[in-house]
Amino acid sequence: MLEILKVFLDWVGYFFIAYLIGYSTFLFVSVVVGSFELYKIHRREIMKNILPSDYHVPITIIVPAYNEEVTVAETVKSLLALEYRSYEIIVVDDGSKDNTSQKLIDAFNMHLVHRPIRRQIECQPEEFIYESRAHKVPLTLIRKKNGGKADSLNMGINASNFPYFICIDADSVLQYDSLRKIAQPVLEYDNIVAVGGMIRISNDAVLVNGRVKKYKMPHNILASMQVLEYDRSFLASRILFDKFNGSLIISGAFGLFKKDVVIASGGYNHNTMGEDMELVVRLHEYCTVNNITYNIKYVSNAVCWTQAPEKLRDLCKQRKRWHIGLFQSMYAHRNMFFNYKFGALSFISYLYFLIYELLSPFIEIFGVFTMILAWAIDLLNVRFMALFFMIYAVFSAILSLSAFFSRIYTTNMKLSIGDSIKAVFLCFFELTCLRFVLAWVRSTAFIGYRKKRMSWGRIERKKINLK
Amino acid sequence: MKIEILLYVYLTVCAGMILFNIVSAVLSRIRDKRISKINKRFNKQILKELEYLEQNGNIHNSHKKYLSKKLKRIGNKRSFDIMLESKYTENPELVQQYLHSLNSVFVSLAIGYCKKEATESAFFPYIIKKYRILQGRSFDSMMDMLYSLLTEPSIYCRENAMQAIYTTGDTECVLKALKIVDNPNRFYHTKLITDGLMNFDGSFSKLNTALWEAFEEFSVQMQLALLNYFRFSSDDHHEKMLKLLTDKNRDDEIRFACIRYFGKYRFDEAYPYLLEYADFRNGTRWEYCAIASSALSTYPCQKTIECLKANLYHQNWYIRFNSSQALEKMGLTYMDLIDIIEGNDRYASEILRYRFDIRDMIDEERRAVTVC
Repeated sequence: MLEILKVFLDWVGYFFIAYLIGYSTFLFVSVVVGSFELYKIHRREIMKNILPSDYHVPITIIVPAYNEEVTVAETVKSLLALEYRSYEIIVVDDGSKDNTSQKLIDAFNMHLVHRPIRRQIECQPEEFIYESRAHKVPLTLIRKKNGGKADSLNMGINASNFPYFICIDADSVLQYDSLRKIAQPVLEYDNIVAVGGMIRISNDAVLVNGRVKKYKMPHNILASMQVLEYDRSFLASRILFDKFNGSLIISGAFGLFKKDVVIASGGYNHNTMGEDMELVVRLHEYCTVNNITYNIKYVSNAVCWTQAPEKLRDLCKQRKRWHIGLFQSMYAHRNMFFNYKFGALSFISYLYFLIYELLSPFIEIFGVFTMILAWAIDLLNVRFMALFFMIYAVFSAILSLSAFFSRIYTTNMKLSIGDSIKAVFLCFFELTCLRFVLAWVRSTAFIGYRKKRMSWGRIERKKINLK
Repeated sequence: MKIEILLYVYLTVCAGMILFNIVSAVLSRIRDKRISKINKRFNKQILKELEYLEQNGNIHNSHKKYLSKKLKRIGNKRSFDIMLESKYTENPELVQQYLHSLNSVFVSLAIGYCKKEATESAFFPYIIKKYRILQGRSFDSMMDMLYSLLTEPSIYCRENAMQAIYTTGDTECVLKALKIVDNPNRFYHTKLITDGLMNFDGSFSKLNTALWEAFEEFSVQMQLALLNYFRFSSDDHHEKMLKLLTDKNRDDEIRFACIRYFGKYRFDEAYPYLLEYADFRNGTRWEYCAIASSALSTYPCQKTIECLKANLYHQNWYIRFNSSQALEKMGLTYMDLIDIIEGNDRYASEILRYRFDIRDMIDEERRAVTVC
């Protein structure tokens, strides 16, 4: 019996060495490529490699809202202050139980209109529509029957008047130049179908008219660790995938899409928790299967500021939703797995998300259990294990910090010495503790998920520090 | 044991990365300090020369030599730009005079910059455009350099070069540049051409004449960009637009652009064609019908109203949408359209009601502003 266990543990050991070397190598390549790309972008800006700022692609901003009476008016106010000429704002109230619609009607003196909406994508019927033309750009409020976030986005797409749309969360704030930046690839490349923006954490940052006036690491430790985590994943892997048109995720908090292609591919899926990822994967599949030349880009300097959860309970809720969404998207488009038709998208992006995102919590938890088992039967080489963990932690921490400081340096932000030290310490803590907590949370995400399939993912948020 | 070697390899990579990060941070600090020193030096030099120029009408040859040597480095050129920028805001004429005196320097630098990588090359035309160095003049060597940048894969390089060429105010140069960028293998958004041409620094009438003369030499995409430019620039193109509109062999997009032009500028000779296209009973394609319906708002008369009213019953959303918009734009009242609003066709009625809602809303919002 002991012999069998020994052989089993040997194989587990080989598997984990291969698994971690694979992950470390990927992380290394992605951070190096990401940092280099950021440096190139920074250099391009210095060398005035810019397209004129007065060329505008017309864009509809869709803001799906559910019980957002506290933040919705401020969000719209910040959207009206964006430095862009040609856009409209459509807020879709998904049957809120609070006064979301009324707050907006009062704040912007909106008027009831009987507007017919061309329903090109299926969505719940509207209850009433208000509009206003008294502001910088047309503002529309559509109150509809509750149907979830995807359903609200579909309503917004149906009502949109422009060829491109952007979806943002009702509690996010766009940086003053974000529309211009996110629309830039449309002028640069042919056949753009989607562009992802950069999500940054706004906890404790001070924004004045969409400009960052004061930036520091959030006071809350959990939020601070998410800053490092976001930088690592957004800056590193997304830039790498972007190199071969292989981005599988555009965050629901900020992304630009070409309307006609989204409509042709069926709009947002109502039956998934990760409607943002599912749409992007579907766009890849739709364009590839129909032989449409397409580009999905990622712009690291188009910034949207969002609140990160400050309570572990909220963070767990959020990650559970993300993980279920990931599973649903990958399962729905499983024909992309090892399919030569999709090229690098299949053999790099899909495979990465499958092994290092979807299955990783299970693999990591399994690893912890086998370690306990090996220790119990005295087959654990503690010295080797400690060395292994130490090197893995140091390696990952350095890469996280490289991503973090690359971003700080290339965006001309000033960080205090205290915040820099905080980043170094929290980085280790994130990799050695939080990562395993979240692995456990993600691996148990499927327990009871059917009940909450259509509900909006809500976390407790503070108001963003806008002035 | 072999595994441990692998771990040590990764440990070495870690140490290497830490070292790299530290060295990068230190180098960046040193560079910042060096740039600040260079900025100060340039500031001093420029101030001195501007003063001399104001008094004597020319600049020192030694200064030209100094710049010819220093501006070969892109970092120095950046510092030169930063320092010049503040002076340009204070006294643009003097700075322009100063830059004109430096023509020989720029000509000699052009060749060098052309050989640099695209990101750096793009900076040179940016400077030319920013300070209008070629305004009213075009030097062969400089122009050759700008033309060569137009063939670069980098969109920024091409766009900066185009912007610099627009500032020459030279029709021939612009025409030549447009022919170079009109390359099906290098995507160049039509919007960049349309909006870019509006920045032309010379005689627009000469430019328009030249563009029309060379019109057939361009691809459809470029023709489309030019037609959009004509639409935004002036109403001097009636005859030529009409000719294109009535040419059935033309690409549809070209003819759509002409319809849009006649929607912006009234030309009675185009009216029968617009009416024909807008009337779906003639069997025209829905795209023509929708765009022409929109254009008809510039030609208010009974015939137009009848055509647009009929279009409100069309099954196509865009035709109904544009027709209702045109009817509203022509100032028709609720009573003028009551037969449709109170009629049996829900789609026609709804779209018109919405138009009147919007009109009422805008009126109310205007009144509110007036009261305030």
